[in-house]
Amino acid sequence: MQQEEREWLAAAQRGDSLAFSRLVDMYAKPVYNLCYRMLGSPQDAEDAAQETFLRAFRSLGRYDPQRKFATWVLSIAANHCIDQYRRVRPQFVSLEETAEIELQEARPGPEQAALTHESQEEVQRLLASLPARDRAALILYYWYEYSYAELAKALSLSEPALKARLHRARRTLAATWQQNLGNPLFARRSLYEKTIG
Amino acid sequence: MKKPSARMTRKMTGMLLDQTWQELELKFRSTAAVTPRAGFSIRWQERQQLTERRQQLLRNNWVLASHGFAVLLFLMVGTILAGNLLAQQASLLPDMASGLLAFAAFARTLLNVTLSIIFEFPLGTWVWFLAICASLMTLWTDLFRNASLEKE
Repeated sequence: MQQEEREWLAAAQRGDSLAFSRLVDMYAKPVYNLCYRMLGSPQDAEDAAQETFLRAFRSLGRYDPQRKFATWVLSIAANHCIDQYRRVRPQFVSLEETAEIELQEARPGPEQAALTHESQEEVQRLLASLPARDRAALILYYWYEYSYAELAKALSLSEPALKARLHRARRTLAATWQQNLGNPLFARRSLYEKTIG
Repeated sequence: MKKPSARMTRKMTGMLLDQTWQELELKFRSTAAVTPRAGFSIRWQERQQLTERRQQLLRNNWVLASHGFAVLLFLMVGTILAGNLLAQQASLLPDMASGLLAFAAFARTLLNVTLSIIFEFPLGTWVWFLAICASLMTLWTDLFRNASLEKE
């Protein structure tokens, strides 16, 4: 953790919301990206990311400085999104429907932009086939490179249970992908389920 | 051609899924991260202030409600207690009245006895009696004053 970040954290723990807003600035992207991958809609993602930071600010007293702030705040985001997903079952919204969303890549050309949108939507569609907790595990593991231990702690799971969930999630995604490609083997629902199980 | 066994099919499917996952993992990792609209932290600050104001309002309402409830409770309990006290006092009133009447009768008797004693002796005797009492009082006061002066 950088010195500057530590100072902001200490000030925020004393109730300085301005100092915390600097941390918000710093971690807005990863938190927002996680929320978007979890919920699939930019509006829901914005709302969930904002709520995540509010919860983090309110819970700063319980924050363990031994833990990375990013890991802590992403755990809050993941759990909030799981709750949110269970409550409202959000619908997948295309990125094209929200002109305000910016992609991290620097101003691509129209062809590249179309490909990027397509790829984003494909990924979202695939993720939508997973249960909320499995989705959170997969996103945090592959996008945020959490360790098994960190992930198990963040999602309140044992390590073997987490590994089983990740395995199941990988299999489900691969099967869904094959199904989308029109592989007749995966069109047979019973076999597909047996394979995943 | 011999149909593959279920075990073999499962094994092949598993291998295919593993291979598919390798491709998907690459796809996932190469997918760009999405970012929020500009001014996220400003919107957060606004939201935080709004939430704080709401919480403050909620706290104030709770304080008001709880204080109002406490006052109401106090008034209720006070009224009940005062009602009981009045009822108790109401039962004491006849006793107090009879006590007062008895005291008045006693005072009247005392006055009658004193007057009868006064009128039993002639006025000159009373003058002498009062003069002796006043002299004894003066003597005693003088003796007391001298004793105090000697001590000092």
